[in-house]
Amino acid sequence: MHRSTRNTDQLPGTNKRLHAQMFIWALAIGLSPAPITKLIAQSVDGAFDGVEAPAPAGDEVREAELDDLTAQIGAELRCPICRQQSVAESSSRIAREMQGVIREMLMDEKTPEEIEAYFVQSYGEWILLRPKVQGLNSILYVLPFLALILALVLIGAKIGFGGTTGIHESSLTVSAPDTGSTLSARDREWLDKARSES
Amino acid sequence: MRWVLPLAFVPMLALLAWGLTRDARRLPSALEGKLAPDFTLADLYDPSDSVSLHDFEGKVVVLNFWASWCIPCITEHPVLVKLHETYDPEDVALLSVLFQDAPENGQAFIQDLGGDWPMVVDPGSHTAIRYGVYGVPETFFIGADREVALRHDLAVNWDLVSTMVDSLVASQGTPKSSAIESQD
Repeated sequence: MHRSTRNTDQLPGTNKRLHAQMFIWALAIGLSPAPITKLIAQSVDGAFDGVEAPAPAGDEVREAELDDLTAQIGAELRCPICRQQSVAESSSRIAREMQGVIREMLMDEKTPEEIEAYFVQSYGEWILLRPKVQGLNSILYVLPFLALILALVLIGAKIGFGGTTGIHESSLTVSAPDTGSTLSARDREWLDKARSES
Repeated sequence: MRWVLPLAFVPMLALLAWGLTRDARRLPSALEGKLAPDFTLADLYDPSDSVSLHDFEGKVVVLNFWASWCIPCITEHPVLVKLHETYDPEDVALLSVLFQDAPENGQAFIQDLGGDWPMVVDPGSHTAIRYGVYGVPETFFIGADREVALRHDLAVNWDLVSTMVDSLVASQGTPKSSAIESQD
């Protein structure tokens, strides 16, 4: 996310002025109410003493970062017209306008969570392509596992628990086929004859 | 055990049956029962002039999103004209927001079909998105207390409009002007 780099050529060990600057900045960052990640996120490329200035508007890398973030957030939001597409995927006008709103909010230093909350406030949770795991939504996440457990239980019940294979012993017993009721008189005669000869 | 498997399908079938009774294209508004977001938009005829929701403080507001290319908007337009003519502007304000349309197209539409209530444009659809609009026409009935009573997402008819407006006028209380939610 941040693009601060360090130019080691500009860090001679005996440079007292640079050390003093580093100390002041470390103190300023330490005492700052803003999170350090935010300060770093606003930094620009360059020397170590240049981390504090925000990237200027129109900066190519910053624009690319904004585009990436806009696409990432847009991918989590449902297009209100296409329904089955995300805002990032859709080419509908409302989706493009929503991307514009996302981008503007990012430029206003809004976090992705704040931006999602903004759209949820307007459209409801329906706008989220990935419903939050809370309330009735939890069913969506729990149900597949319940179905899997139920399926395992049913399969277990079918094949039988406790080390048996579920195959009845009677089916393992080899016995002479009961053909008495199915043979015709001629076949029975032939069979009887074959038995007596063997 | 034989009945377990068929029984497992019962809630699933019930859910599907319930789903078939619903119109998937119609969604409840997330704003109903909440304070209407405030906005300031440029006038349809004079871009240097602007209209805000808080200009109608203490009044029932019928907020209509429309476009000249929208066929149901043509159907509902006479109802809006009648609404504007029937109710006292001191009690009820009608405000139309042009959605995804060029101002000149909107002006031509009004020239053909009439209407002289406040109309504004919404470039970039910022206000429409803030209101969760996903198509036109959409109409929001906002009480004097700034609470969104109803969002209707098809062409309005006179029965609906008069019932809603009468009910909101009758229940007019102390405006919660200090609680108007700011858009910015």
